[in-house]
Amino acid sequence: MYIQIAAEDPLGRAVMQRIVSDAVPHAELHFTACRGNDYLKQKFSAFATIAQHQNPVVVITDLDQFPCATALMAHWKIRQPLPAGLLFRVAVHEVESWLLADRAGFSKLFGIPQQKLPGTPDSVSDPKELVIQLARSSRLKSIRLGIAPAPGAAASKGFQYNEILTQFVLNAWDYQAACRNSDSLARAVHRIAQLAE
Amino acid sequence: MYLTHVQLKNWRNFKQTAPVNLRDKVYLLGANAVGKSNFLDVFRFLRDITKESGGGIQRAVSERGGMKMLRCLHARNDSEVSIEVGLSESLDAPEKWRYHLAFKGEGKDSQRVLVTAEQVLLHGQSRPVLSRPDAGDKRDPERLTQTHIEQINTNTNFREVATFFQSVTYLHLVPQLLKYGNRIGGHQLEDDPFGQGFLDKVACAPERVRNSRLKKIQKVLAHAIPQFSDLKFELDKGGKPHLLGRYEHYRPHAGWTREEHFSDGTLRLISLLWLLLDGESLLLLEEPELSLDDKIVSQIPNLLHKAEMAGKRKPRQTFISTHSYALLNNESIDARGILWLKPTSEGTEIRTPSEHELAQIRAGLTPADVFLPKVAARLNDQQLSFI
Repeated sequence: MYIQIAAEDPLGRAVMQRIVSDAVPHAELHFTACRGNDYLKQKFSAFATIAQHQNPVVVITDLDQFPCATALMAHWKIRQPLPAGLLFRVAVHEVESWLLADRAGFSKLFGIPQQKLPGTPDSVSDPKELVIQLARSSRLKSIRLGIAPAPGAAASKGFQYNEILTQFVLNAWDYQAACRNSDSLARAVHRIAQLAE
Repeated sequence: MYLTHVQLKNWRNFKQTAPVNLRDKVYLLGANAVGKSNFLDVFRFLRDITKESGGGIQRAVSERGGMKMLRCLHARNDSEVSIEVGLSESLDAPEKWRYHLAFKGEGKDSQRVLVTAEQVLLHGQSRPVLSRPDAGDKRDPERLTQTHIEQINTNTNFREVATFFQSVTYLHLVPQLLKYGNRIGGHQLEDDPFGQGFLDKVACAPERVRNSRLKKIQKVLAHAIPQFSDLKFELDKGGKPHLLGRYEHYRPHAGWTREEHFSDGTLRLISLLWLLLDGESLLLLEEPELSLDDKIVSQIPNLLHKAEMAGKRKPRQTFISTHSYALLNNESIDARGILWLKPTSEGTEIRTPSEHELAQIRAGLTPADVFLPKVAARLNDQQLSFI
């Protein structure tokens, strides 16, 4: 099965790659360019047409500061119902919450105790910022220097932020365990599983 | 050593700039012809003055077409050109050295340049290490045709500054010159700004260093260039150095291809990576994005960062002029290093980011989001069509 994945950034893409390739083992995955959520919004009607006539499309975006997915969809001017082949998933509030939800895996990656991680990551309003704060408190130099921007720098991420986190997602992330701590992830995994049927 | 600040007067497009603070990575943005290359040329000029073979201010100025070409067209009355830079051991340490040079044409049909001021200050010393014109210059005005920094006898007390300027590296590799240099009888400029002699540079590195660098470069190429598998160095029968690459899509025993068959992008990427692994001195890169795929371009800031992490070296101060959205659309670039050039009726201004702009970047926008719209040429597609 040919499945297209449209994500706003490399991390979202890796998350979908991991979940979709597990759910649909023989799927041929194709990725659109990661160019932020404005790009996804612009191309949304094209994705809907493709999903209706050609192949399934999985679109993943961050909720960011919208109160709920419905508000975001209204802002994107998305008309319901969506075609059957179009999966539109929204991470609450950002896809980083889904990584934080794998408490054991994430605490091991960052070298920090599990108690430091939020119990319900979906309720964290700025998970990227939390990830960076956690990195600063890590005992691992590679995490401190790679994930967080250098002290004083006018930058929002370290140079290896995407590399370290996407490697984690592709190789170590236990998203089944993470589903127990994140409703939005559990719903996404459930919907993607239906894609195989 | 790092350059901590620079201030220019009457240097080409720049009539008078405020002191500009510099970081370890400086990204230079601006529309075409506002002076990005001219800004980089300040540091090449300082290198040309101090270089061991045939340096000196007279030649450095005449190679640039003389004072007429050098001095700012906006300067109507004041014809003096002035450059001041600060140097320190690390970027957050107090400035160690300050070097100031001012000069103007002698006038009277003479093509000569006269030094009007040359000063060296050292942190912690109340008296300047050098302050010209001095009594000697008054006795013998001919001395003003040379700077003290260009002479070993007179720069003893601030040799460190001269050595720093000497080691500045500039590269704007033109792949065609490297590939076809022999056939077009390409005359190679001193200091090889266009990379014609790049292979000789590779050949001159000690074998162990060369092999280890090429191995690292090969690793990057394997990711960046589809089907690229191997890279090696070889001298041909005539003793000429060559780089050879192997691609998987050729027949398995198809053998190696020489650099003249490499794509422009491959050559530029190889030379860029080599430079990043080579030396600790100030590096000036002119539009490194040329002929490279956007995906690779977007990784250039990360490559700069990685080269330092791997070598456990001090960060190499690098100035990069660029137009590339892909390169600047990076949340990890320290935006304190952004300089954007703004043309005004009184010459080009060098702008540094405001606190407000830095806050936008810290909140997650990228330099591409914040600064490119400000520097873009003010025209739409229709204005560019002329047919």
